[in-house]
Amino acid sequence: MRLHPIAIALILATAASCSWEDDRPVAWERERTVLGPIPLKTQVAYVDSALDRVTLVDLERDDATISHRNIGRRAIHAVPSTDRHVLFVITRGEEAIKRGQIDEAPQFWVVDTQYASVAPVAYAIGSPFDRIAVAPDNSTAIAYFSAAGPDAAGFFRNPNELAVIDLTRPPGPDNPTLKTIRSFGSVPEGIVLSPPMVIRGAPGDMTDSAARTFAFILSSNNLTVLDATHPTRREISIRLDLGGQPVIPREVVFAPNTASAYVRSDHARDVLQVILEASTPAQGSETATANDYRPQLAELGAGGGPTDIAVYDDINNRRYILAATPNTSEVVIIDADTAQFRAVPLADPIDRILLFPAGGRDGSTPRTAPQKALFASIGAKLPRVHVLDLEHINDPLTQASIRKITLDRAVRDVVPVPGRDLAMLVHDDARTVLGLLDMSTESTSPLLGVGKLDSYDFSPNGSYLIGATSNVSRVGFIALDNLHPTDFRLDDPPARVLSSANSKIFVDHGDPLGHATIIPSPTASRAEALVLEGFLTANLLDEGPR
Amino acid sequence: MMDMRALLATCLVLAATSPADAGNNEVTVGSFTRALRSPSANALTEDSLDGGSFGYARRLPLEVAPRLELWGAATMLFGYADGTTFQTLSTELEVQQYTVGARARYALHRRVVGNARLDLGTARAAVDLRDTEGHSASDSGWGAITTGSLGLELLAIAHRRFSLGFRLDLGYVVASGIELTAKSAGGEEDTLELDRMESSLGHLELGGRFFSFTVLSSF
Repeated sequence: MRLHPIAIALILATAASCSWEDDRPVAWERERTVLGPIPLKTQVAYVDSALDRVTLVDLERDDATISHRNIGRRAIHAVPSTDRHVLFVITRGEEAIKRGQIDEAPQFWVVDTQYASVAPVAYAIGSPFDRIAVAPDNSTAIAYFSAAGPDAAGFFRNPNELAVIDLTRPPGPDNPTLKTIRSFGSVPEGIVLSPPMVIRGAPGDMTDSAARTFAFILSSNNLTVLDATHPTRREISIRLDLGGQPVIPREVVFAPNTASAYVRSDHARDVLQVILEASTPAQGSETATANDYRPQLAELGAGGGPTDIAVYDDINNRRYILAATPNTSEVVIIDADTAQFRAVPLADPIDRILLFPAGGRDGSTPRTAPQKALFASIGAKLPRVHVLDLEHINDPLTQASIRKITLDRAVRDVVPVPGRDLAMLVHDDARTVLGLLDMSTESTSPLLGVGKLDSYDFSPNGSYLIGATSNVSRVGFIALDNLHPTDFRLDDPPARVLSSANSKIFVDHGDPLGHATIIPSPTASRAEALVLEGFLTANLLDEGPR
Repeated sequence: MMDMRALLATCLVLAATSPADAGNNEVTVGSFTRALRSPSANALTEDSLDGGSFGYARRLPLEVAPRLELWGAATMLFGYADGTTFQTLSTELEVQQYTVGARARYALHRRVVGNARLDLGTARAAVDLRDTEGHSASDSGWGAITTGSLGLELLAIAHRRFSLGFRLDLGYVVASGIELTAKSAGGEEDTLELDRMESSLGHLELGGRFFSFTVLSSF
């Protein structure tokens, strides 16, 4: 009897303890991946797959501002638009398995990074795609599967399925259009969307809406052309194989004025020119699926298995293609309109062609027509490069002037400095030994760093090379006018350096909580710099995952 | 430190204003577990806040009703919880809590006493987030706290001048949100560092149901 109250109390205590555990929402158990930093115009974006949001660090003003855009579940892939104002994100969604989870379909998101008031737009893409191709004018996007093969998402996977999204129209039952392209046993290894092109002679070619986007789908032994503006129309397959080694298309460059594209493929004999010409649909064919064009193919006379190509327009807006053909020990200059070509002997196995002056960082073309071409043998690791004058190169009476520049070390990589007549030469795989090639004087200058150049960028006007090594808490600058080196001491080791369009330097420290240093300019002092912390977990406690 | 001083001052006032008869003072040592299920606490841990407590109480010289006693009490409490967020961020939460309040004790039996308690005070929360590569952010802050509970005391020894027993309390904590900011550890103390702009983690709310077990001694 004396223990009776104690027994009651223990029973109460046990009951209280047993009923104590409440479940934490399953959202906090999500797997988290942070995509980024993704450089935009004057912003830097990160995509959080657990918090389902895009974090934007705006570098426009002196004090960086942080903003967020909510997107769908499980972001898997993100790419910026060519003009770097818009971010495109694929979210794979979620299958509700545990209590608290909500079914969500895969979606393609268009995030306007300039205007916070513009809500992200979601297009239901039906399948868990993991790659995006976007037209240069942001009119069309295609979501597709990478060639990596099946993963955990989905039971079956159709690797040749595409979601063609008309970005000029809101989402709807007919937007995006899901389409499976014909396959001859291969899967897409890449998709390139053309700039707007008008097919002369096609119905309505004189109207404002005549320009359309074409998708060039690259797969082993196949090139597929799809009218992405009219995705319900049948795609056109072009077999590339020659019966020997598989022909793998690698590069596509466009000549929108002539509605043509130039395709370089590994193990191909020539550069393939694909001219899109008007054609009348066959009698009896369904209008909705019939094409009003057909590809006209031409092998442009490289003849030696081009290993790299470059395209430029001369001062008369005439388009030329430069192709390196090591098998014939030549570089070939092809007039894209007439297919006439000129071969220049060059014994080295060239596999990299750069044009100078180079275009801008955002892919913009240079203000003047390229005047020189630089040829390098990256694969063969040769200690020399070659320069070809492009002026009057199409004049058969002018002798081609190609000059050899001998270097101390092998060339492992060549990178053009945007907007400048300069090229950065990388002499070892670890990027510890660099050189700067002045294309005006055709002289080189060595650049010595404290370690491996893990990340680098150029200032927007090409006046500075900005570099960082992951284990050294400094950012290095080289003024490319006089090669004067300076550096900036950081508080923490860098993971990546980026230069924004307004010349600010953004140093990401690789912290999933968000940690970055903003340096206002290459000449700024430490007093002017700012460290941002915790921006990837901002308001984590108040908002949490949705 | 201010809170420690306030606690000690309260104890001294209680001791000075109450009769010094035997059985008018009480010290307690115990443990507690608090269910942290606010949305903000869920961000840090799926566990409850567990810890220990130390308290002192003094009987107030007030006769309210037969067998009903009023006590003033001061309590220090230390709690800890850890967890994992998004599978990659390990989290640690440390809480210190200082409260003063009043307790009503009603003798149900010579060895059984029921009690009700209301405390007010302050709590300090220290949060640490850390990823698998050693990146970390931490911060601490103070917030207000209110505790209410109902409990039962069972006395194993119940002499006139001395008693010893244990107390079981069930209650609820209402807490204000504590604003926290993600701050990295920074460099060595005398290192000149760049200006920093830290983002707010948000407000941590530490309220929730609790259960406590304390050993008490009155003398």
